[in-house]
Amino acid sequence: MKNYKEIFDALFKNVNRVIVGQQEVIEQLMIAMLCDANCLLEGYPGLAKTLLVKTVGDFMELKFSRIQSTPDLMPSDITGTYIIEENNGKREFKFQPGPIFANIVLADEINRATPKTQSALLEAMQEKQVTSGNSTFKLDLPFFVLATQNPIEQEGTYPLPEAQADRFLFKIKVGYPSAEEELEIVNNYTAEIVEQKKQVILNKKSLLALQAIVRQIPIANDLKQRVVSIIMTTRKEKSIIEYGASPRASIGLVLAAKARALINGRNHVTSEDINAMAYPVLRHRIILNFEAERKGMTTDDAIKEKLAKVR
Amino acid sequence: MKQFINVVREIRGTLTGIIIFFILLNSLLIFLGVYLVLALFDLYPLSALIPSIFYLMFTFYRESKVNKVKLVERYYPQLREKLRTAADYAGAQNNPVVDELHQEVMAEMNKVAVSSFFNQRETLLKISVIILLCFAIVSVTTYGVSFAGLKFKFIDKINQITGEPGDGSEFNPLGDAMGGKGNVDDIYGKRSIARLGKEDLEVELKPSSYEFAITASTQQSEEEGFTEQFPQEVISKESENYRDNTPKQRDDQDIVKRYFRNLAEVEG
Repeated sequence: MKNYKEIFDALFKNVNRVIVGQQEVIEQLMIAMLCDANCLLEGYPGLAKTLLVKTVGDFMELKFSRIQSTPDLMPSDITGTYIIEENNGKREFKFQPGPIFANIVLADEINRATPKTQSALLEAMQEKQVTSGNSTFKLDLPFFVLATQNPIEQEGTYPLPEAQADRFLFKIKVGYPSAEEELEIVNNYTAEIVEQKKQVILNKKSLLALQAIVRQIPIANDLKQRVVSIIMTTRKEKSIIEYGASPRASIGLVLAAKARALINGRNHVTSEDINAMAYPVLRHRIILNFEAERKGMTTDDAIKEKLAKVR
Repeated sequence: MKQFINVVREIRGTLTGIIIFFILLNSLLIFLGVYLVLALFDLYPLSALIPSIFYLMFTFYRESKVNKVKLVERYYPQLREKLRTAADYAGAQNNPVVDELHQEVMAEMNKVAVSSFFNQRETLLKISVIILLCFAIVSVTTYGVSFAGLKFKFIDKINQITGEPGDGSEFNPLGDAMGGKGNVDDIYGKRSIARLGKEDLEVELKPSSYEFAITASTQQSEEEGFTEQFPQEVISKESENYRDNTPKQRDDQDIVKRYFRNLAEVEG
């Protein structure tokens, strides 16, 4: 297990050469990848969300593609479409794969795409396959969709419906860097451009193996019980929460806690893993009621309260 | 794998043994303590079995519910959540991560000493108290030390403070030897102790309010050798006067007492 920790430490160290700060975001992104799950990144423009995802993909030798969502983006622009190809004087339809055929797909500003286009991602996210016409195409594994959302400029956007948001394991909040970090960013990006030598730390095969190991990490029965109790509390106690989390949240929380244990080189899950993972797992899965909003509470406050209640 | 199952079994067995030992020790302590108190107050000493058995059963039930593995974790924080996870997966097979965890836990379990679950000072103290209690019980039963009188004095004291009747008769299982209220000289609370002529008077003196009433005089009584005049206050001035004037009230009592004594002597 200590060997795994060394691998992840090396990965974080290399990513931090490109991305300054954002330790928690990088860790959560890695955890989502180990869980073979999708992520929703929310943050203001200019916080290096795209660069972060691309950098992680580079260090893991994964094919990266980016989709910039706009209101006129069509589902076939993502999945791909059939084109007529002439071969030896014979015309035939040939499937032209879209940007979804990659290992890491960054759907930038997903809330700007229409619901129809957003839902085109659903099958890919859930089933790891794409259906175009009468044919179904398997996606290359590992496959992740990392979608970004801008919390401002909500006009003319299509916020993700709850059912679709639930399919993302995490909602990661990308915050502003601290003053020291920002100074370092300024220094790094205003000096002479030095081509960084890219070193592959994890390849596809290793990542798939690690995904299998994550599921083997043991978790004590009472910790599993606690996870279920936390999720049940979000559904039952209506004092601040209008709609609670689905059973998918229970599965996600246990799995994420296991992945966090692996990243930290532990062969068992602790309560600390559950507490740390509860925020990104539940953030987009609970809807606060009017009373909570009147008090100025955020979903993170509500999660904190629930975690304190279920010990 | 089997090795780890044996480790878990050993943990549970050892801790159950320690817990049972402490429960028995505490039960014995309770039994002897209560036995001594009961013996001192001349009450049935074997009643001490009731609280000790109750404690034994209740504590045993409560302790049987306690997760022994978590108990070890409480004493050894480095095993926190690790040991219980390993115990939950004791039967897991073909899982290299769990195997590694079992190996790690077994290595750390070697540092766990059974003596750490024994509070030596507390155990010694309890045993000393038990020995002292045994000596005390033997002494009390041999020399017949009894605080039974103290008990009734205490009850009377309480009654005085609270203003209860304090009749004492109901607290007098040992007879007149204890003294206090309820003596033969006391005329309170007894009916028909007086005769007026040939008629019995139903006279009842109520100590709580110091009022008395002559409730039934069936016919005009015939005077038999009365030399003293019957005090007017007894008949005409009733409880209201008693409440207002306490010294007078006592005088009235004396008059009544004297009257009935004289009467009794004349009758006798």
